[in-house]
Amino acid sequence: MNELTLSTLLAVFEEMFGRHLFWGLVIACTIIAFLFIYVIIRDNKIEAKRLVRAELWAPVGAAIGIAFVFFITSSNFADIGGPIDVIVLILIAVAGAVGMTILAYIVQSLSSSQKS
Amino acid sequence: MEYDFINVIPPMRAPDVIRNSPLPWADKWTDQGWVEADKHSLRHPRYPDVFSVGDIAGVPKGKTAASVKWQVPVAMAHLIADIEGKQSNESYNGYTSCPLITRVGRAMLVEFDYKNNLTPSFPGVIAPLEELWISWLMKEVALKATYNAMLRGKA
Repeated sequence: MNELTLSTLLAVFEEMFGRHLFWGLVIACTIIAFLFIYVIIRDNKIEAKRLVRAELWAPVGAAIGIAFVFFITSSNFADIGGPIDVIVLILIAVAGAVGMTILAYIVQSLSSSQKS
Repeated sequence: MEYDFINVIPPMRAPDVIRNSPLPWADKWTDQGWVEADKHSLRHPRYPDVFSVGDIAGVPKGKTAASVKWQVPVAMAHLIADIEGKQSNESYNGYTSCPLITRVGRAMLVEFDYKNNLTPSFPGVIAPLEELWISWLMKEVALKATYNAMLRGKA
């Protein structure tokens, strides 16, 4: 019980989000990951133009990520207390930025294929 | 009367089923009725088959969910050793955790043992004596979820 196992983490996340929301998010992430792999395999490359455009969405994703965590935890920038808080904030921003970039890339790839 | 800080502790005592049994200490906490227990093995000195964890355990520290997380494996190890006819060296050191909320948005994640030594779970990462946002995050999103998962026997 003292070890942090995968089943412990899953149980804690289930309690955090609620079972349905947590597994819904896992499924959503899996689908998005597969879609990303799918468009790369389909196009046989990462389209540079699309990637750059997708990256424009990164700051938006970062801002949404931070705003979401602040909202959920009833806190704000004034509560940042030490270096570790800044690091956590940066990690949240990076997660939001990467997620949004991937999402934007997929949306562009899928919508462009519909046009052609 | 003016004051800067108030900390109100409501009266606490063991449930009737414990207080009206032969299990409580005879000479300690007599008005509260906690179960007599060795503070390291959590075993009852007079009824060696009885272990206590959590709120009803008559040990000097540890009436928190965080303590239960460390008490249960100790009690379990001793029970299993008894069944196998062996002895266990597992010992509970009094670990407990007090997320002290200093304001909405910041907290101190103070963890300590019987000897009041600080026992940080994330040494070098989360400083126990600083008011931090990450401690507030832990308290807000992770702790209750962990303790609920414990109730399901999953954490």
